Amino acid sequence: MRKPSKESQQKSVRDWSRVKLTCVGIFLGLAWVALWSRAGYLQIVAGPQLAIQAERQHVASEIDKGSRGEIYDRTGRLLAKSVEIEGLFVRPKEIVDVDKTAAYLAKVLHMKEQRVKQKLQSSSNMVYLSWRVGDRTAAKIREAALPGVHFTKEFGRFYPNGHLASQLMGFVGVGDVGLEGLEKSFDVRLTGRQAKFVVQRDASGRRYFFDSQGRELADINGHDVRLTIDAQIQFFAEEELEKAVTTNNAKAGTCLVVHVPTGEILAMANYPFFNPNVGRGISPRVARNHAALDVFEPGSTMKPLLVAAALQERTVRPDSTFNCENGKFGLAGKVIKDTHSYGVLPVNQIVRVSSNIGAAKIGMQLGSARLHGYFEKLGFGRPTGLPISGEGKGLLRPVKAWSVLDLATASFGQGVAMTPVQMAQAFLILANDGVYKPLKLVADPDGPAPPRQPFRVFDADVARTVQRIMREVVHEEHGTGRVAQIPGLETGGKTGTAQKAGAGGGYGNKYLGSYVSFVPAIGPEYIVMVMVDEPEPSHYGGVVAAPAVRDVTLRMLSYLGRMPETVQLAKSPAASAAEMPAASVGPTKADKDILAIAASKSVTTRAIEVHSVPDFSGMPLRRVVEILAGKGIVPRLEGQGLVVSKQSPAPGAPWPGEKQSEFVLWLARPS
Amino acid sequence: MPFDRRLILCVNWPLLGLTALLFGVGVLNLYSASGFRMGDELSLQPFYNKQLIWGLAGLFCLLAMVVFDYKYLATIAWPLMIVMTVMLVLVLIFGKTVSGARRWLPIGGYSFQPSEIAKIAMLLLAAKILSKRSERLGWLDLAGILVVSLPVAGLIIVEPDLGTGLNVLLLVAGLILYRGLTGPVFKTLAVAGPILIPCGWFFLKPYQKGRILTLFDPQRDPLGAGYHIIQSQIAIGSGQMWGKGFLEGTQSQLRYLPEKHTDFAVAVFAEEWGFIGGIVLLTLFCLFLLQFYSTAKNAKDRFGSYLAAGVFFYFFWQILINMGMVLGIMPVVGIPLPFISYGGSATFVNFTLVGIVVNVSMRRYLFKKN
Repeated sequence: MRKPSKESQQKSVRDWSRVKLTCVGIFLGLAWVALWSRAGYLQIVAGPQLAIQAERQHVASEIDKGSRGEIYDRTGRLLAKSVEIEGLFVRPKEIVDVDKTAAYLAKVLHMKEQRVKQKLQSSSNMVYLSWRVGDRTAAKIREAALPGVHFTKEFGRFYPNGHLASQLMGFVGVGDVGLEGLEKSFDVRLTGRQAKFVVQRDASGRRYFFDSQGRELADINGHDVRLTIDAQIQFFAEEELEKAVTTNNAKAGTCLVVHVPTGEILAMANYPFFNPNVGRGISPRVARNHAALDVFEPGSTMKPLLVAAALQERTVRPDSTFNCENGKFGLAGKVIKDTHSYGVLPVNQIVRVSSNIGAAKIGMQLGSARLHGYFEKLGFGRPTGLPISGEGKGLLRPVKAWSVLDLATASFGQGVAMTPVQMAQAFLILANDGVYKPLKLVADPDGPAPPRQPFRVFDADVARTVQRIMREVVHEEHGTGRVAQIPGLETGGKTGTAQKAGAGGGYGNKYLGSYVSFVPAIGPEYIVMVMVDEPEPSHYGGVVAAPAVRDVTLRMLSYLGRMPETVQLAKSPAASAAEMPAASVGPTKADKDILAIAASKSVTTRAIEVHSVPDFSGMPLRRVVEILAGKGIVPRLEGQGLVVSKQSPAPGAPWPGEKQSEFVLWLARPS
Repeated sequence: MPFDRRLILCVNWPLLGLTALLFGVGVLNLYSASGFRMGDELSLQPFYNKQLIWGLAGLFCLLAMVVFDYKYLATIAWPLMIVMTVMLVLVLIFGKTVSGARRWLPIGGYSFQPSEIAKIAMLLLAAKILSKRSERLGWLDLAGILVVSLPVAGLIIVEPDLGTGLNVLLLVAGLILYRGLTGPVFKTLAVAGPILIPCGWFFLKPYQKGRILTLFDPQRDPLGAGYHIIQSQIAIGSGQMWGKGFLEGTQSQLRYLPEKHTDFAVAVFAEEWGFIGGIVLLTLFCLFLLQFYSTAKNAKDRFGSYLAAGVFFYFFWQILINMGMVLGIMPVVGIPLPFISYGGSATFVNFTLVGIVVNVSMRRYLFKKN
């Protein structure tokens, strides 16, 4: 600072000091003006620009995705879950040593070095190298600390049960998009919302969410979907279906299990399975949910529905008889054949032996308009409304287009086509004593609205009559479904053996063997249905599909604790002791159910030996221990509580031998 | 010394008020600058309450400085200077090294910076020597004062503590010019200065050169020497007109702003209070300085006047250099902003100096000689 001015040197001391002070004052003023204007420049002129710069530094507006919702079965078992995985991308501009980076990345990612290099030299801002990097690989790459190499959070879909319900679940493609199955139809609900996440980043790169956005975090995640499917029953269905398809050299198969009182689908199996965890390279063909998407001519399984319609319209009575023409019936220049020749048969026997000629005659007596009307009421020609995208609506030509022959063949299930799900829907009406009840696949109360309100299709006594006829199919002489018999339990059923229409339109030598079962026969609680596509050499539904239905039913009932087997347990000394009033723990509801079944079945049904473990979950520990004691098993207990929550071996598994004492019960406190 | 009622009447309340105000602003600002964002919360480092404690201690010092007549300060000027010079030598030998600089002398359980007290000693001594000269300073006078002050400043600079050393030199230089130089001396210096100052370049350490270069081109080393300047300007600029609001300064909380509770504390203030806040703070400082200015003008004797002028220059240079540095128009030199920057010794010294000036100003009517 050189401030005193020369001209003041000669003036008096008094003046001099004033000048001096003025100079100091001026300098002070100038300095302050400088500071002010600099501050003004920074904050007002350059301010907005610098504010943007500040924001760019610390506010990372990352597009963040909420995780995809999970899919559960009815009991809360996990069917599909999203797990966080890491994607790898590069910002080419930040890369220092392209050759070294490319060589390293190519090595750890198992990619061609040339290709990696090409991507690293790309002119775009960021290039994805991999959508999925394993944890170890990611750690290695992080350690190498290569500039310009970054990770993103991606979600990978994980199906813990492998192929279980694979076609139903579908799969998820790159970018978390549901491509098939429920993943597709519930995509909107499952998908996590994309939120432009404003994240604060500090100088060392740590990220902080703002309070408000942190709270929003939970909201951007997708919603879960809870299905009516029971993973255990699904498992039984798939295992038995696989057996049915492979032992009969068939191409494919479908199995459906429906809980009648609620209309809930407990299992929807398709074979062959696929592993949705693979992610890439799943062809839409293999992932196709045949049960809901593909139409089949059902064949004879149509007959109970036809009879129900005829009984409802009073065109036949239960004791009406029809001449079955000894197996050959000429109609409109064609011949309708039966597999065996029959003479005059009453309606119930027409169904029991599955006479096409009898069915055709019943149909012709009913007439095109009425039969078609019932087909429509039963839901043929329209999707059932399940939340499965692309659900088939079947093939039901307008009634005007029906010839007499069409009417006759439609009566035994040819010339009309429907999806297995549609078939299940039609039989659900019959099982539900004639009242339409929509099939359900989603257990959430806010699931999709039912497509139609309940309405009556058949009178209850008509439905019951048909149920009785279906019982005969299984339990009476010449019944085509005798293979499906379960000792100690009366079931109803109907076989179907449909010739598949060939490419040319005529019927070839390929068949669809099917079996629909009501469990129990009268007032059914469950519908179990199996279709086996192109079995060889045997193709009769009663041979190829009925055993699978039987085994699924057996295992399911065992798992559900509804097996007649409990009769036996109730009779064992230990169990009887438990029933005595002295027992301090009062019987729970589940207990009562079992006791009720035991009481009812012990008189009416034959005692049978079933070698599988019942489901103990929800039962009081005391009771389970007593039941096991009757079997000579001392269980190992895990956890605390008085109620069994899980068990090993799983329900439906064979009883372990006495020596092999590994019977584990996991306990929970009663909720 | 008989008690005079006029003493109370003449207390420089505006100066005390401004000091309290600035100190309050400083503590408040430190409260904000202490915040580090950790997760969803701010974790506070205890700078502001430490500063508060130092301030209270400083207040006692201020009061202690007021109770006696400042003329006694002249008598202790030499002894104090000698003691401090010894200590400055000791600190180079026994000093505690903190981040590469030996500035702390451990005494008992505590450690203190002799350089801070040396500033006071320098002020007293320079005021004493200069007030004895009734004429403007000739070569001999100038040499005399430089012989006393240069070694002290040199000892501080080699610690190294360039900021404090410069502060001492600038204080003395301000006082010299305030006293006035004789024509030839002034002319010689006016010519030689612009020639000699660039030569100083060669004595600078590389990092110091870097700091000067980055002043002209902050982007030449944005993550190194330029980082402070760039970040400080971003913080201040992003405050814009009205600021981001108290405790809302993102740049400081997210650790972008370096030295945010010491040298760059005012950047936190400007970020949170904007241009408006900056204007207010600068105005407060201006009024604060004017108190010393008027005290210097109205003091009853030359020693008092020089004391006030010395304090004026002491604060003036600090404010100017610190603000200039933070605003990006001066090189980064470790000079704190009085009352705003965190620093125990500095706060202590600042209050002491204010106390001295209050002392001068309240006794301006007593025994006035001329």
